[in-house]
Amino acid sequence: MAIPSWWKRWWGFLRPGIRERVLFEDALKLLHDRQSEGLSANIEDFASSLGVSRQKAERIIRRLEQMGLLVRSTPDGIQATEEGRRVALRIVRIHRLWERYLAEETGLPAHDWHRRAHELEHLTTDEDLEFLERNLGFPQYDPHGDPIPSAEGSVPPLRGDRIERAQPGETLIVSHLEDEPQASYAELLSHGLAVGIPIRLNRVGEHEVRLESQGQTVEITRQAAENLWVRRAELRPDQRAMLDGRTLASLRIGEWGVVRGISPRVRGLQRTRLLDLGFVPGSRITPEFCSPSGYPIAFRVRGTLIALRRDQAGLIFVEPPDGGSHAART
Amino acid sequence: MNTSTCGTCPQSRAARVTRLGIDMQGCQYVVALAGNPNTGKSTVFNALTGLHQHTGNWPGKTVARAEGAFAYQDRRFKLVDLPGTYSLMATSIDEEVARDFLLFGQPDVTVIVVDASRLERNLNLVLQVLEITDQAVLCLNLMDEARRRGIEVDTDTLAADLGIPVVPTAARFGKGIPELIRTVHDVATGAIACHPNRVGGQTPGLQRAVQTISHRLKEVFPHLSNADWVSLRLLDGDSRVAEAVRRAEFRETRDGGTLPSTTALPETSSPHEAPISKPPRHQLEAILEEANKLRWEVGLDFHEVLVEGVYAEAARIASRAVHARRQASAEDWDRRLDRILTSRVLGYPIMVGLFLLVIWLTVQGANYPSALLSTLLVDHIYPFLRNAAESVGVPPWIRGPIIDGGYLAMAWVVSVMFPPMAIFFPLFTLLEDFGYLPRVAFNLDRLFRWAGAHGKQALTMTMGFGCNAAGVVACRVIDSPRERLLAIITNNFSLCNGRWPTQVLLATIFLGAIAPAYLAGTVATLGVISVALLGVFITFLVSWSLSRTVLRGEVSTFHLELPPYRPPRLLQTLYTSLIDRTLIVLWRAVVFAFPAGIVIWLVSNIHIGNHSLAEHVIRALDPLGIAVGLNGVILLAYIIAIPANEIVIPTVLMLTVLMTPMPGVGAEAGVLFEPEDMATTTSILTQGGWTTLTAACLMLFSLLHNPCSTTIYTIYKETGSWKWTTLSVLLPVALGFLVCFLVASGARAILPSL
Ligand SMILES: Nc1nc2c(ncn2[C@@H]2O[C@H](COP(=O)(O)OP(=O)(O)O)[C@@H](O)[C@H]2O)c(=O)[nH]1
Ligand SMILES: [Mg+2]
Repeated sequence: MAIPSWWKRWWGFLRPGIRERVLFEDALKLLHDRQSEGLSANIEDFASSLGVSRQKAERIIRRLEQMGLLVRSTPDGIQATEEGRRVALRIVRIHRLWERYLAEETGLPAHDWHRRAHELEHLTTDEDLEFLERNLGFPQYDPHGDPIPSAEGSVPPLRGDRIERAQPGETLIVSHLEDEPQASYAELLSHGLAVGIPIRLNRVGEHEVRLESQGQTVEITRQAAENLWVRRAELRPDQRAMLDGRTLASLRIGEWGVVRGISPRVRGLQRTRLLDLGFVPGSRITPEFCSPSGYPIAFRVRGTLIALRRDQAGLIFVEPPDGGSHAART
Repeated sequence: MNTSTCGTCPQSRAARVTRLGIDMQGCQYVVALAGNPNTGKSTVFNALTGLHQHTGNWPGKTVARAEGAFAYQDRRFKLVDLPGTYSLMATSIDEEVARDFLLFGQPDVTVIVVDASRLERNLNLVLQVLEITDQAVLCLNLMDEARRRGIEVDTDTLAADLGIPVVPTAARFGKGIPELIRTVHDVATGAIACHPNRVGGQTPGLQRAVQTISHRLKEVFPHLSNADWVSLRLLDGDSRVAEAVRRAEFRETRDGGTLPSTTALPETSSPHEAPISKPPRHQLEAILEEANKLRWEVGLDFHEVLVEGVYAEAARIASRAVHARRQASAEDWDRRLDRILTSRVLGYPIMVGLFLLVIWLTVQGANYPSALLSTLLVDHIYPFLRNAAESVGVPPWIRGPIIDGGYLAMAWVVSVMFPPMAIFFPLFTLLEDFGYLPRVAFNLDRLFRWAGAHGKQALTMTMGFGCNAAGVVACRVIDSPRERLLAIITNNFSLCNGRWPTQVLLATIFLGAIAPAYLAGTVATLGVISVALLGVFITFLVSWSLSRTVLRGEVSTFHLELPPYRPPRLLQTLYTSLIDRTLIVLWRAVVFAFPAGIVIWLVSNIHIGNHSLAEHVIRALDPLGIAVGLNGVILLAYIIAIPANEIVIPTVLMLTVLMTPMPGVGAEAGVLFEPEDMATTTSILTQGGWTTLTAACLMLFSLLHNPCSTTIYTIYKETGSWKWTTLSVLLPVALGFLVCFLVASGARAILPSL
């Protein structure tokens, strides 16, 4: 019997040297992040972002310098070398692949992806990495819309732009949700925003941004808006239905609606599954009866009764029989 | 085609069907049964092979593939029953079995079984299957039901539209089966040629991408018959198909003929017999890379567009072939019944009522046959065997363990286990056939959701009341790995049939005794039912805590198909489940109880110093046992009875007598015995220091302890992980000790005399 992999992971954690490695890799990643934004980093940045003392940060930088992974021209101008950039990119790559995996293949909620991926990234071997990428079908973007560097080190372009740059009244598609700082990310999640969700920008105020999403008007703080990237788009019919926000959950027993699309928040196997069951665009669906406790509800789909829970029913967008009351349009 | 293996046997010359059961020797053709869940595949399988594969009116009844054979006109056919699948794109564990077989097993004929009353939905899968195979037959099953619902299907139009032969059947009543066999034969031999309809509906960009990949695949695998489909799957990022390409796993068949299709079926999980010359790896990798590159060019939502296209095509074909005559009354009837069985007021009471009824029938009904079997096996056959052995001169050290140990344990298991099982399972099967189980899951989903579990856990939990190992296997119907683990780990809290007798016996002796005589039976039954309900409660509680600790994660999607109600077949059900249960009980008796009996005999007869091994162990276990309201005897009995829970009680009795010898009771050391009447049992146990508290704690412990060995092994097989297996073993034991300790301490605090 082979040693189970979870054991190896923990063993890896306990092994001396792993903690060091985590710090080294995180330091290089920080440097890479800063550089890709055109910023530089100093010792304080390292100390605060790694959660270590100034002295320790100093020591880490010195070691990395000795290893030829970064160079220090001025005290503030720390730069990664070509080799350092490569190591950092590998970690970024692993991190984003893990996030993609967690989003697609596990039931882990969105606010846990980052943390879990961060735990896993330093313990991932090259074989794990290859396996992961292959199983996910070589994705290009992580679930937040961040590009995943390829094995050769090329990085696909980041799509879209910050929401403040868009014009009020425009219809947009969320293209990227920055997951740090966490508070901002959590705020965006709490409004049901995700990559691929269509929105309409109403107003960019001094303190808040107001937009329409899934049939509701939501207000997010300017700070959270920093984390929200969008791209301009003509909406397809499914996206228009999503913007209107009528879902299966809003149908009353005996009413019917025609499916227009499934929310991008439903991913991976679960998405395929709903499609296979007949929740495809064009299907006419009627809620027939509900469980004694209210939910789930049994829907008649293409001749068969299929029960869904409320939250799922709320992710399948429909057009009501009257041809779509565009209630959300102002 | 080589027919010599079969040409010699007489019956094969006749143009008639021979059901060969599991005799699969010399089959020339492999026939697969595919289809949506609950369309009657297993019923068709049974009709063709004469086997008794389980059927049941809920999607997910068959979770592994089953094989059988039949012969027709000099030809032998191997038939493979696959789990139902909604499509070939998603992959839950049970569906993967079906999908892999269709993809890589390359059957000679695929029989697609569809529900005639839901043709449109079923056509979704049919069209997908037709993408990967040319040789297919559509079995339009459940025709009787369709007719009852006023639905008529124009089979000629359907056959023309699909490009494959269509055979209407009502498998349950054997209607249409001969025609089905003939058609399968004709397709297999090439007498009927199929020209399946392939769905177009792809965007020009996608078409170009498919052609590019397909072209490159054909360079490497010149005989690949479904290159377009494989390309499409590669573009869709299907890792299972990509893996098959990487390993050059495609069997080249038929026209290529590199491998005769009569060879044994390949294992789905391992690489197959390598084709004669394996293409170089880098060439294969290059194809995959190309597909990965093109995937991002054709756009990510093409999967949705594809599914939509297939459904649109299905709707088009169905609208041409199906004529609904009128709004059928059967539909109304179903709807009315559903409204009652899931109603706010009656839903739960009906559910609990049925649960109680099944348990009551099982407990009450088992008494008489149990006593009968025991008289036969213990009072008559046992002395006979013993005397026979003695007169032939078998030495005691052989006679002891085999007859006094092994045989008696076996006899106990048969007499105590068989009757309740033979009552419970048919009752359960009737409910299952009727279609009630999915409604239970529907009603209970809210609770399971609260516990962070999957609503289908209600199905596996109910199965667990019959047998935990079966319940654990049934967990395959749950898609999400996290929730499947929850269901597997908690299945043991469903009080299985093996533990009912223990509960009933203890409840009758100790709980019944504290009530006035006319209420004794009721009190005892209520005691047993409370323990069973406590198990359900603990299932929820443990699921809840696990899903907040080691198995954290979001509640995944839940979908549950509610099948139409179908009148159950009484006689057939009784017959099959009786045969089935008999076999299982006998098998368990031989494999588990017999060796356990030998162990019991040995521990009570091997002496170290003045005491037997058993006495030493019991003395050592006593302090722990008494602290949790039990005693050393019970703990030892549980250790010995790990293989088979059902021998706990006889072991306890035997060991108690061993520890406190009573004149005239019991036989010699290590001889399992069944006391003549309740009074003897009672006196043995009270002599052994038993109180109502001991009995209550034992009832609790019998609910909360490690699963039996079969279940443990099944859990390991299903999870493939020692970690989860260990957790599922230790968690209930720990809970058992905790609960018993609390109950014992509480009771002793109130009544110090205990
Ligand atoms: N009325 C009717 N019921 C059928 C027929 N074939 C199968 N059934 C029932 O349909 C249910 C599902 O059958 P099963 O063979 O388990 O389906 P599977 O899931 O496709 O293997 C069972 O309750 C069968 O008794 C049929 O031709 N007519
Ligand atoms: Mg089946």
